[in-house]
Amino acid sequence: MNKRLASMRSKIAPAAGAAATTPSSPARKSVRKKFMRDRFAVVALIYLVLLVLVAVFARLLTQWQTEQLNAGGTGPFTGPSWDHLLGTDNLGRDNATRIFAGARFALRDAIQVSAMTLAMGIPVGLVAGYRGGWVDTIIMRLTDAIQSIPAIVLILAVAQVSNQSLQWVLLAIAFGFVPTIARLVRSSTLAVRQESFVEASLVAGTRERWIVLRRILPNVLSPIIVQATIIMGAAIFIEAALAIIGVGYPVGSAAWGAMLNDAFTTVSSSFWNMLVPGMAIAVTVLAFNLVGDGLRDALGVDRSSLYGRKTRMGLTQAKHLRKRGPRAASEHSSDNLLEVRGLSIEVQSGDDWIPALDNVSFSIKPGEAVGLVGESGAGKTLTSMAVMRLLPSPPYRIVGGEIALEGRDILRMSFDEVRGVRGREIGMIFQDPMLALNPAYTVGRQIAEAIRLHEDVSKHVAEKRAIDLLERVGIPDPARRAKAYPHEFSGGMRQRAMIAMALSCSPKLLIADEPTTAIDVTVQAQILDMLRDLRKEMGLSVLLVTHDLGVVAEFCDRAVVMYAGQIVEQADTRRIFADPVHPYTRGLLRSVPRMGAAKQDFDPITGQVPPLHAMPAGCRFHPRCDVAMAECANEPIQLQSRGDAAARCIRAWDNEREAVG
Amino acid sequence: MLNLIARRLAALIPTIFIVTAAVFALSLGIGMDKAAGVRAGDNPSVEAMIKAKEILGLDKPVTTRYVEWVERAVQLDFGRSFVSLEPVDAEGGGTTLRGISVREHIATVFPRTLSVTLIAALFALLIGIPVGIIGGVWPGTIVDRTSAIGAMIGLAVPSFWLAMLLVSWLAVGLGVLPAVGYETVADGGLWGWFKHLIIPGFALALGPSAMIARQMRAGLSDVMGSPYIRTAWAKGASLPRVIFRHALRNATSAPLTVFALAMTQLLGGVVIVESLFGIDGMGRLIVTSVRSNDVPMLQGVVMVFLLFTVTVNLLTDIAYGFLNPKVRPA
Repeated sequence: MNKRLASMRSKIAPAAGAAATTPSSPARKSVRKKFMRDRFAVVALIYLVLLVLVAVFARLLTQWQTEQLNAGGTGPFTGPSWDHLLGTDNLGRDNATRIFAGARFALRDAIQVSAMTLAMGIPVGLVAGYRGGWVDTIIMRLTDAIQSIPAIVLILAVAQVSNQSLQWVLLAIAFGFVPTIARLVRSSTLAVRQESFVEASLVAGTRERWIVLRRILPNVLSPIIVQATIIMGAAIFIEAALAIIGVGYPVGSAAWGAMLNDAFTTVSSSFWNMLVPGMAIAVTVLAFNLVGDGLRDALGVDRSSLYGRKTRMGLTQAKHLRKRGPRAASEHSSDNLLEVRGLSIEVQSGDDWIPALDNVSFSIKPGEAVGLVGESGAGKTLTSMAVMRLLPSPPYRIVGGEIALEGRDILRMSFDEVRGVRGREIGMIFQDPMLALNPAYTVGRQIAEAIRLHEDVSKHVAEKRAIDLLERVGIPDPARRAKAYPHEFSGGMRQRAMIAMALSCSPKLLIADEPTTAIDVTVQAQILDMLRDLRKEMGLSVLLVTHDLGVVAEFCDRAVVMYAGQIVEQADTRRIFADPVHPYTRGLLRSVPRMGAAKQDFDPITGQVPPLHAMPAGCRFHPRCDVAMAECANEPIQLQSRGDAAARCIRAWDNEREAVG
Repeated sequence: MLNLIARRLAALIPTIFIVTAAVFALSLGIGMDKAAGVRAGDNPSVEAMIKAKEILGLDKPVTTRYVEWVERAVQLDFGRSFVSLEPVDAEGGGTTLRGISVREHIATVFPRTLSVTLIAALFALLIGIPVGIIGGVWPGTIVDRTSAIGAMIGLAVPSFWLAMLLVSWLAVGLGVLPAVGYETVADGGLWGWFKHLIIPGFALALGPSAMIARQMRAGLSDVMGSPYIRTAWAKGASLPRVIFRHALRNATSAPLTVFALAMTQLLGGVVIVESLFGIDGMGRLIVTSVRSNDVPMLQGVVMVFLLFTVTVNLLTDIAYGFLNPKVRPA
């Protein structure tokens, strides 16, 4: 048993250390660093520190007493002066003196309320989470009930019964916050308890309970610190509100709320006197909230930050073209439906822009199916999204090139022109059909919407066409299924619905981004068969993005192989498979396991696609290439064309070139 | 949908039980003796006290009183006030005094508080939702940063202070709005009713609107990055269509939650704001009935607020169902 315990403890210790903010100094350092980066929080913290100093030394800061009438013979309602930095109130008392005294009350009470809340909430939460079962149920029901009684009623009742005792009022305020803390501790305790090794240690008695406690507390420490800070602010807020109706602090006392009330009763003559204590309350509450938010971020309690990155949705920025002239693409060879020429994209990383797509060129003929192949990170999805200008800007921006659709450059189009292309001329389907349909609307309605965005037809007609489309993509009982929501569809059915939507306006080009990757293997083939039929039927061109060479072989006329943001080879599908030129293409082909092939033929490429910020010099593939030479690392390799085919390799068509040269 | 509502209601039963017990316990805690004392007059004799207790029903055991109280409470009958009295014809001729009916009194007072609350809710939505949408659609822009800071300030500025400043500026200074009071629609017309509620409503709305804006922004900026929004763009939808048709509906559950929470928690603010504006509503009634140990009145007020909370939560659950088809049983 002891051995087991020891091993348990060793397991617990590092985990606890990692989660906690206190023990390890590097962790604490990074918390401080993160907090210091939040300028608002730092300023707020400085303010609070000053406020504490003011509260402590309140009596030394001014020459007046808090209740000294007509202090210095100045009289009531004077504005700020050297004698009275914040003026005097309705009885000629010095405002600054009273505000400082009020700070003392406010901070003292805020700390008390926070401490009392923790003292009540943490044990309750621990017991509920640790004991579980009926104890937990009862405690949770009680906290529900507490939260459904207006807190003000309890506070007023307590004040009444205790003859306006401030201590009791503070306790009642704290009581209102207990459910929040109790729930926090409970859920964390539950989570820790459910881990099996803690379950095991429960059997062993009290010492192990202590271990559980030590494991739980570091986990909840961060959220508790954040909550305690925010509770302090809220306590000041509530206390001031109560003082206005004379609860907690009597009317006329130097508490901030009571001062506000004095000012309000003489509202016509004392705007200034209302401003001063109100500002004190508002700024202090704001400071506590800002520090709480800063801590939340720094301690990693809630990772969703308040301030997001600037992003323009809906249309990728095409920087190089913003001010330049003609709308037509530079040259248009009439037999291509889509021509991508020299497309370059950058992605923002911190303050830098890193090239993500380098000079990508390819074309698609009417009725042709082109496969865009490569590992993840090769830039194939980036390319396909750029064609529709769907990449968000920032982080992405297009810095060069043309995307000519029947001679019109998509990169030079206005947002409205691009909208005319989307859905009508180019349809698109995505990798994850589970998430690509809007959960709030029926499938039929979403397809009908796609139709009505581009065609002036009635809702009724559009819905009828949606049903026809669903039938065409092989969805049984389409009239009924059109009225169903996406979550009532299986993955394969959703992808069929997506295809129906993408094809609803009979586009010339379909972009399919990994259309079968997230779907059951058995259904993949059906979807591909259906796409092939539709292609024949509609004379559709397809740009198929995939990492699966099998899909390319089955479906595509031509293949474009991408690696690390560049095209490394393109050729007829047959030729790519029969006679690959680039070592990467050959590697890809070798990494497809085939039935009946010898074991040594299955030989996946080692290593990974290099990250964008660390592209190797020279050929981007050379570190992973099994036939690399010294020259490969020297300078970037150009794409060499040979008829319809092209390859980006120093050795490409070596033999033949020698023969020619 | 009915099924959902029934389930929610069933889940409330323990809560309601605990709360009624707690509300009844108010009558024990707050000191019925004091109340009886008030009733019996200054320096009462022992006989007078016993008589007063008898009239108030304090001579029966606690459990009996609780059962009787619940029986009447479910019919919204909370008895008669201990303190506010009205003359009635006595049996033997002449008049005598008896407590006014809690239910009737609340029925006249509640609409005032409901008006303030509804106007506050309206303002909170009118401010919070557009600000949140702007922040969520254009995160990181000047507008977003400004509104984020505005929301921080909005959460920190006390409603009572804002109310005071607005009264001092708009009512006392410019004289464009009334400083205090309440007018029913019957008395002052729609505008007369509304103009008395503008300042208190706005003051109460500031905090909730900041909460709504933050949640709306967070929810919307999450949703705007989701695959189905990309699908909507890919269809050729315009920005307004993407926001209002596709994103908003899926981003409303978090703001709806805080909105409901804010509505049920408005009472704390209502107590202060009603006393600042001299509106004789539920908030003021709480204060006066606590101060005068008017237990039946207080119990009535608390129970009405419990009912209000339950109703708001139920409506919220129903709204979830409409917004999210997954919650809705097929």
